[in-house]
Amino acid sequence: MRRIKLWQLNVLLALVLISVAVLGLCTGVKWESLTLLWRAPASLDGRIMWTIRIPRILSVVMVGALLSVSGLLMQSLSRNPIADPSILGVNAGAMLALIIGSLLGMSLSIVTTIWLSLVGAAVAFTAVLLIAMTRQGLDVLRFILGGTVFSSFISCLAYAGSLLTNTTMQFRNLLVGGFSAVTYAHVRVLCGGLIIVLATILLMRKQLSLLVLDDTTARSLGAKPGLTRVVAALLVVISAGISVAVAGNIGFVGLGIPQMINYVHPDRLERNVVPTVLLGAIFMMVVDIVAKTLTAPSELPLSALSAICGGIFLLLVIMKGARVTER
Amino acid sequence: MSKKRVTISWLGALGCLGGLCLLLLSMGDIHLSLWTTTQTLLGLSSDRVANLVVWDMRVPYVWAALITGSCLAVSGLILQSLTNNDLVDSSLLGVNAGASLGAVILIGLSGLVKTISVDRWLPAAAVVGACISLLLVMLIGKSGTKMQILLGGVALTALLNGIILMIQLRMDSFDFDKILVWLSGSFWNTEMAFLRPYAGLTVLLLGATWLLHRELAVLVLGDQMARSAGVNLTTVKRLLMLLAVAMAAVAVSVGGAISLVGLMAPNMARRFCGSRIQVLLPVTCLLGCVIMVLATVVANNLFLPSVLPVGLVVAVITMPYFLYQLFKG
Repeated sequence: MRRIKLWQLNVLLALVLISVAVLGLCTGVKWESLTLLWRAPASLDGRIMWTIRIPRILSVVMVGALLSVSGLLMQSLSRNPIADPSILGVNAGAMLALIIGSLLGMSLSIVTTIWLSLVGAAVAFTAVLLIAMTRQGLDVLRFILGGTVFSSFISCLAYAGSLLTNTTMQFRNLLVGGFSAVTYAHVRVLCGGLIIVLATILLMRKQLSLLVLDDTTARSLGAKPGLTRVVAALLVVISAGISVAVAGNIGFVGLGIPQMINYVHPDRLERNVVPTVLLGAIFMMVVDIVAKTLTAPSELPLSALSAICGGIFLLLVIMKGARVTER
Repeated sequence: MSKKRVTISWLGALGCLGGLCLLLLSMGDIHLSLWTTTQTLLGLSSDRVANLVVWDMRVPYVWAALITGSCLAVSGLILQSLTNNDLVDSSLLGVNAGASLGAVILIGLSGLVKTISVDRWLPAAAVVGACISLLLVMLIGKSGTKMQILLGGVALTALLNGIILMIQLRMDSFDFDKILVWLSGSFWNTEMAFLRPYAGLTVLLLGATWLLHRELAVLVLGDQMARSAGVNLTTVKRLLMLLAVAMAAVAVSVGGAISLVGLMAPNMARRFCGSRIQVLLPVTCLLGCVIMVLATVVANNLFLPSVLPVGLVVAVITMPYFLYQLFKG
């Protein structure tokens, strides 16, 4: 098979993203024409477009991008195809922090939400990394299994907390995930996070690409693997934390998207970042369109949808006998 | 392993179980003294309140805990012997999630078609779900390593829980709490009339497992040894697998998806009394009961007057243990 060139892939994905985004803008409870945006921005339908649909589209795209980038980073961090912030407890940690915070009486404004989920994600990720560390370095199996169990452990605590205080309805959005309540403030936060993450990757692209090598080789090439790993972990925490704060616990985007890109165009991390981001955004858009149209006027739970897609994908990867047991 | 130690672990487990059951019966919203509880149990008390509380409100919880505990523990032991992997249990393999999905689908159907009786068909639906998911996992793990089976189970659980979440939200979008029964486990129906058939079924399945304990012991030695010991491998394996699935399904029907009891009980039993199956099997069963009764005591009393789902308490107890087991090796 003739390999597709990187720029071709990027252009293709960008075109698909634009068309899907336009489709997402038009669909919803009611089909709206795109021309409303400039023809009648003051009418009711026009205002719906400007104040509800556009922020939603923007945040869907950016959450997809953030999640897939964090998956890509995590996979090179652990040198393993089966890694993703939702599997490894980072998302669950952010969720638990949010629930604890609001049970303690903090008002969940956007700023506190972001802080809480960042702290939660950081603590959970550190814990999983500590579980996975051995004297020989990061043990992949411990990372995955330990992370999975730790993740469900934290989710249990979160459930118990919200159940005891009779606040399950309040946390419903957090638990099932979704974009139905996003505003421009969310968009701004997401935008900031995405810029920070992408800029850091751009600055450190050479070092990050060397993460997949073992430490001695990387060192002999002039990289500092310890520092790079810390930076990559921080980036994962930032992207996962912000995504959870905006859209709840959406899993598996980070798992599948980098894998698909790697299948079509196997290459270094620095070259694959752009197509991964684009495909992540496309996937999130499509899932969101399905979630809001399939059973309109009610919305399907986004986390369940992505868990189903991701579960099937993970099964396929395992069946193919991926390099799961490779150290 | 000396005989003395075996006797001690037997007596210890039995004593623990008895004490915990008594505790479960006496503690709660209405506190009874241990002496009153014992009297009531023996039928010597004429106090109507005590009789009502013990017999009608708390004894069903004991039954539910015993049923789920013994079923999960023994099914975990069987699955561990079958896969030759100490880190396996019905919840990790996705069997519990499959059974939950079966139950949830049945409940959803009964909302649409009023003639379906949930109580009657629940075990059947759970067994079908559990069978399908175990087959899927085995299919994945056929060519793969132990870890691939485990990861396959993890993936399958995520997938099935996603489907459960969807169905539950479609059924009744206001009753979000209902999902928690099947996702995290709790005793959702504690009427004796509901529990009695399950208790009978449990005794039956445990008896059948005991009849097969010699074959189970040989299986642990590996396929070749088992064959040379004159065991019909395929039949025995199929039978045992069916038993494990049926027990997991019974446990799920009574208490939803309760995690990792089947992992913890056999491993603890092995530490106490070695791996001779005729000792291990009953001790495992007892320890499973101990874990479940303990979890029920905590769940019912920790945050009075609200009652926690018992599965959450079990998860908090057992998951650190799983991590410890995973990293010991």
